[in-house]
Amino acid sequence: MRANRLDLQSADRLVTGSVHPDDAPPGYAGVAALFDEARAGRPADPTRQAATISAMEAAVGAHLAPVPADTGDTKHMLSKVLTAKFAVAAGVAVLGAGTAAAATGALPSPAQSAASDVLAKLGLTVPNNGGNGASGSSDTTSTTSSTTTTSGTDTSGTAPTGGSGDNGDQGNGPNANATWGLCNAEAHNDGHPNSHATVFPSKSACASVTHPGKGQGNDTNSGSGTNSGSGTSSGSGTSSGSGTTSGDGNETGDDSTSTTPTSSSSTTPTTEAGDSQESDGTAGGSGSGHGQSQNHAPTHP
Amino acid sequence: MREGGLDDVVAAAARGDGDALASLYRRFQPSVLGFLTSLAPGHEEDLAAETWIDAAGALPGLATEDDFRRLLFTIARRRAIDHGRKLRRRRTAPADLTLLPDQPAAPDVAESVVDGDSAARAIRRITELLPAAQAEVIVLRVVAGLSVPEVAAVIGRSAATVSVLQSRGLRRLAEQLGRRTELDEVVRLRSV
Repeated sequence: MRANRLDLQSADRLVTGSVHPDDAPPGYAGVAALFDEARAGRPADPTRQAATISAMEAAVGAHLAPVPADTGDTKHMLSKVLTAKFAVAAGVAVLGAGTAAAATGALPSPAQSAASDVLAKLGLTVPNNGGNGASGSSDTTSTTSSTTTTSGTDTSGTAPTGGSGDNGDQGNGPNANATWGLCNAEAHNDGHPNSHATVFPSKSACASVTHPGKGQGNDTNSGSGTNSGSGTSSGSGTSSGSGTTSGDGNETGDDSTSTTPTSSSSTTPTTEAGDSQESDGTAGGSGSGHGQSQNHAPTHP
Repeated sequence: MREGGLDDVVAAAARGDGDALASLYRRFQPSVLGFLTSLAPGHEEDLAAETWIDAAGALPGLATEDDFRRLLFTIARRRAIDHGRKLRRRRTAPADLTLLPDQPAAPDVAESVVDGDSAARAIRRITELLPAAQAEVIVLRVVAGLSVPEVAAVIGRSAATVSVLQSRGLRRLAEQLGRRTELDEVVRLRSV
């Protein structure tokens, strides 16, 4: 038997129990009776009811309970790991940058000294600017001295004299020697003006420059202190400086005899002497060559 | 809002009032059991208890009876679906009882309870005569008393689809029951 299709309203009345089976549409009386039977339901089990309601109360209470505030102690593991990694990476970066700076001598003197000491314990040799002369141990001093000499700034080879503090010319720093050398060169350069010779100080400035060794009463022989000190640095600087002094002609007997041979025999005399002679004749490496060579550098820039 | 609605009761239950919770339980437990009987016969009591506990946990966020009804039957349906999945995962091969030594047959308590309940029997009849989708819509409409939009929300389909399923289910039920009635009449006439 094919049942008639119900309209929506009739269908709603049937499923909601609004229609008695006797009043149901044709063919739907059995459906209405079945729905009435299904709708009757069955009573709840009293024992289960008590237990279930107790559990429901607990469930509602659990959701109503205030949630403990986040105290911040429960950080995510990810953030902890990332923080630790970042700290390690930052430490490594700072350490590496500091080591590199120390190796290149770019740190300030106190920091460079400290870094040098620390790294020396680790077997690494880095420049020690702060310990210049005091320790007399590093090659840097020597390098610095020779650099000063060759640069022509002091032109005379006298600069190395003050390059290390353990020289006899204490109190006469490299500037004093350099200034003296420059003025000396200036004096001997008269008559050969050259636009490139701007390095020379003015004559008025040179008028007040005195010989670094004069008045001190100490002969550069104290440069032997150089040799006694340590190695390369001291020897190189002192010797050249004294050479200049002797070249000056004022104190020939005094200085040249004392220093030149000493320095020549030390580590860097070759560089010092040769350099002085070539770069500026004023310095004149050893005093004897002073007169001839003084005109070279200024006139041939 | 329905006539004689339970909005106040739902609000009180949401605050943890035990009487309100008991009132809701007594009001809806028969329909929950009927709905679960159609989906998981024999396990409706356990599933209903789990459904109520879950629904109670969600009560603080509800305001009206309609909200609660939708939530309650949605939870019941999902519990029944999860139960069916568990049964499929733990599928067992039942032993052949004829191979066992003769023992007095113990009565199946659940079966006897279901058979003894006319409502459960009627619901089981519906699920036997209809496809699952149509039976689900009919049971939710008849037993749970949900409207078409509410049924649509519970089963996750459109209201139009629910209406179509309901119409087809009613027609099919009428045909099946009419056919049964005719067969019963034929048998009765032959016996006479």
